[in-house]
Amino acid sequence: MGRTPLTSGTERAVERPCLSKKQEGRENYKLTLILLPGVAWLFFFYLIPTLVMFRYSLLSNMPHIAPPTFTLSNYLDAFCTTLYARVFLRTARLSTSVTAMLLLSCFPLAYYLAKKTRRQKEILVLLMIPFWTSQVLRAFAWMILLGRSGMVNVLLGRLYLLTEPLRLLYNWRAVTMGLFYSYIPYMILPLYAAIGRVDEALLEASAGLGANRWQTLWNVTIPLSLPGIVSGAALVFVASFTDVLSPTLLGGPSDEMISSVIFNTFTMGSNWPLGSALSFILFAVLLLAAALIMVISSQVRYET
Amino acid sequence: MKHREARKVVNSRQEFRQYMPDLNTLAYKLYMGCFLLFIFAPIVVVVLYAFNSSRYFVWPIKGFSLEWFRQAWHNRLLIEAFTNSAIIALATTALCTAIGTLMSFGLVRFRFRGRGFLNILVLLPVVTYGIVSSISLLLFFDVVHIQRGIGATILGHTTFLFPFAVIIINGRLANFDVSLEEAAMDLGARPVRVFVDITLPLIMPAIVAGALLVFTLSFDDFILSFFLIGNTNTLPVYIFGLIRYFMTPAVNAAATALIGVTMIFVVLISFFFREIRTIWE
Amino acid sequence: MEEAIAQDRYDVEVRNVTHFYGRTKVLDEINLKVRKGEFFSLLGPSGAGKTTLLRIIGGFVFPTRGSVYIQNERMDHRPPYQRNTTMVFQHLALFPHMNVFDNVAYGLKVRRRPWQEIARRVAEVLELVKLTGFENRYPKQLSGGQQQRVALARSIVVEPSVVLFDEPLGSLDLKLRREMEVELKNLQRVLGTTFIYVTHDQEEALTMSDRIGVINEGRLEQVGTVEEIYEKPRTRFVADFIGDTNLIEGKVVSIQDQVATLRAAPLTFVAEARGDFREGYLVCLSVRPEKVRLGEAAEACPVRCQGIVQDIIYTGAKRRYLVRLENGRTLKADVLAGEATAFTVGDEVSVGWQGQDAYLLR
Repeated sequence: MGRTPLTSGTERAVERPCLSKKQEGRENYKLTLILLPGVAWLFFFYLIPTLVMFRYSLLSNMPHIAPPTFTLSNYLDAFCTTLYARVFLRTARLSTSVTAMLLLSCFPLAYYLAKKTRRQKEILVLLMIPFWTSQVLRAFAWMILLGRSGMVNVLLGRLYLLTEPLRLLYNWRAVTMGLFYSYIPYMILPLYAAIGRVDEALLEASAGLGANRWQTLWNVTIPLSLPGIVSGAALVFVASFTDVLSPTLLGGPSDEMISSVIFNTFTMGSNWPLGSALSFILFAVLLLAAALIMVISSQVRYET
Repeated sequence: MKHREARKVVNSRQEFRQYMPDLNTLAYKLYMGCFLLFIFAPIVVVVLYAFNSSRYFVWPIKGFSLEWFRQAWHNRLLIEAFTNSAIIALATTALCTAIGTLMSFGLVRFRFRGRGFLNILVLLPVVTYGIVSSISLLLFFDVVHIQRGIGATILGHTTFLFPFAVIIINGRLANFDVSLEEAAMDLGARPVRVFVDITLPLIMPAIVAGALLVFTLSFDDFILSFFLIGNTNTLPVYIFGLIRYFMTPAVNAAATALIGVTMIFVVLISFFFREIRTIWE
Repeated sequence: MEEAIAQDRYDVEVRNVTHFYGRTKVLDEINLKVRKGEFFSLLGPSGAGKTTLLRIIGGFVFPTRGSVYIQNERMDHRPPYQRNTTMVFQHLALFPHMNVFDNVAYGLKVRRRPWQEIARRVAEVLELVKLTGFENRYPKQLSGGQQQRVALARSIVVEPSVVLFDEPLGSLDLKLRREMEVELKNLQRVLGTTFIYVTHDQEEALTMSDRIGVINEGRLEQVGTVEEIYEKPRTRFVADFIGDTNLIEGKVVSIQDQVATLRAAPLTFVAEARGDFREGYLVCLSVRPEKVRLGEAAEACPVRCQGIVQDIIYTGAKRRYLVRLENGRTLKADVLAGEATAFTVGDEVSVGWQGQDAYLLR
């Protein structure tokens, strides 16, 4: 049918003007003109750079040293060396644990927000305020808090719980904390939306059938908010997987995550082709995760 | 006892529902309080330390001082970084609003083959925003010989932030009552006039919300700016450098400046809150 | 010469309009002439295509085939802003960001009228719809009925040749709706503008219209005055859709002088046959419940048969008897409350009607 302008923003079936050939051509022209800036922009500044990165990852060495050849050695290194495999696994482990922690600790909060009928919006805005700041600041804040003479240590010392300051900073615990803190909104908002969508009538029905509060929660609310749970978990996982600042600022030398490895390669190291390969692998992982999210959330949708 | 119970019932009339966990218990309130504290503590600490008179990050704070702010004010690099961030954010916002609005119209108002594909394509930059994208842009600009700097950063920011504008405007546009436009045409207004008189005023809240969001995200951005800004700095990048190499509460002063700017925009955004919520749904 | 004069009588002419949505035929060979200054209703069930036809006349849809003439000018592919028609939309489409004055004045502003003229004409039309004093209110501050009037005012202030109505009263409650119907009718008489009104509510159409066009499944079933439509329906659908009727199916046995004999085994009926009916046709006999007589009154009727009373339904103004005939069909007979009948459920009763009260339909 070609390109026909909708007279409605939604798919209202009745009204679709049938245009003459000339007018349909004009509409096509209009459409192309409207979409051109965005599409062209995405093409030149998103698709092409990705391809450039891919091509770079196939090079054997940096171009300005010597003419490079095409090779898969970078990918072989990435997949087959234990070094990188370990980094990937560590990253996955950290991301998973952060996701789990966030899921468990944020669910009650999201639940509260969704069910509270007064001042919902205000509280939500209030909660989101600290997350509007730059990521740099959030990581920095944890550096201050977890330092040897930082707040946490001093507080615990004052309470005479410690004899000497804890080594809280520059290890995986600090990284976990940084990640946890940074991605709270990524977990809360989808959960809040999903819990809010659960029809209260269903909860009442459950109670009417004899279930107590916790049974209702476990058997009705949670399964029905699964789309939100999946979205939130996936978002957090993906975001923490690619997070650069937490491992860089809060982690120690043995706590490198894949993103900080890539970061270091491009700032301090010189093996850009390898960095590109790692980057491209990460890109593929991201795409896969995004595709998975879409598939799962469309499957797990309970329509009433 | 009776009085307190009665008051509890009256106060929590809306919350006291049999079929879900009671939201009014002490445990819950404690949990909420702790969480709120946890969320705000880091930022408060950062700002607090900016007023610290001591050079070191010890607790408790030794004295109150505005010294670091004075230093920050005279710090040319800091001012430059701040200005760069502002310029980049403004330019990015302008570009994103323009491209985003057009794109949104194209996606919502027209039906064509590949519309579903394009819808997904528009969301990809949001998904891959991070180190991966920064690297790809870094290499790309290298290959096409575009110098790193403010211009490159603007280009980079726009690429990854205009989808946000698209999403927000989509939300408003999809619910737009087209019969309003039909009525205007019916009364004699030509399409351009209809757009200016009817469509634009009614989607303006979404456009503004999108613009505010993009500005904030651009101003706060670290990872793209780090790789694309070249020899100069944006504020987050500058702060990062300070943290890495020169830790004093001057960093906090700079950070406070960053927080201040962000907060202004948060207040503004909260007025357009409803539009932003659509991203997450 | 006569032809030319006749042309001037019509404000809107729809010629052979057929419209497809994708592969689906939504309108089928519509031919329609709406007279100048008349209140014309397009009546039909939901999905019949009446809104589509209205939108074709208004210019929001260009017909796949056929043409539309407005005041003798061909307009079918002209956009709405080039037509001298205005539309009152189903959900009114009042501009939410403008107050009442600006809403009503919009058409005039677009036409670049001087502001004194705009002010004057808006005031006039607001008085006509009884909304003087509401100029500064915004649509969301108005009640449903008031919003209706604003939409109406907005459409008539530009003095169009035709005003189109897309079921605008649907969202009002019954009492308000009936009031608005009367007001609309009066307004149309005062203005003298042609109104084309789309509705699925037959009472609305019967109350307000000069003529009605009945549409079903994209086809124009019948066009005529209110009496014609009601008393002399030409198709089965019209008979059934307008008012209530009894339909008896049967086969034409013989036909002579516009009178047909119909066999609905094991009964035989005689009825008027207006139109093309031949022997062997499968047809429908239609007779309105209020024309069906019972008992003694039936004995005086030329068309008669026997039946058993199945049920009696009391509806205030009248009583409805459901009588089961020998051929298994159930007839509805309405008796006014004042008239006395001694029948109860289970009684055998004669039913009958006058020859001219029943007619054949395809």
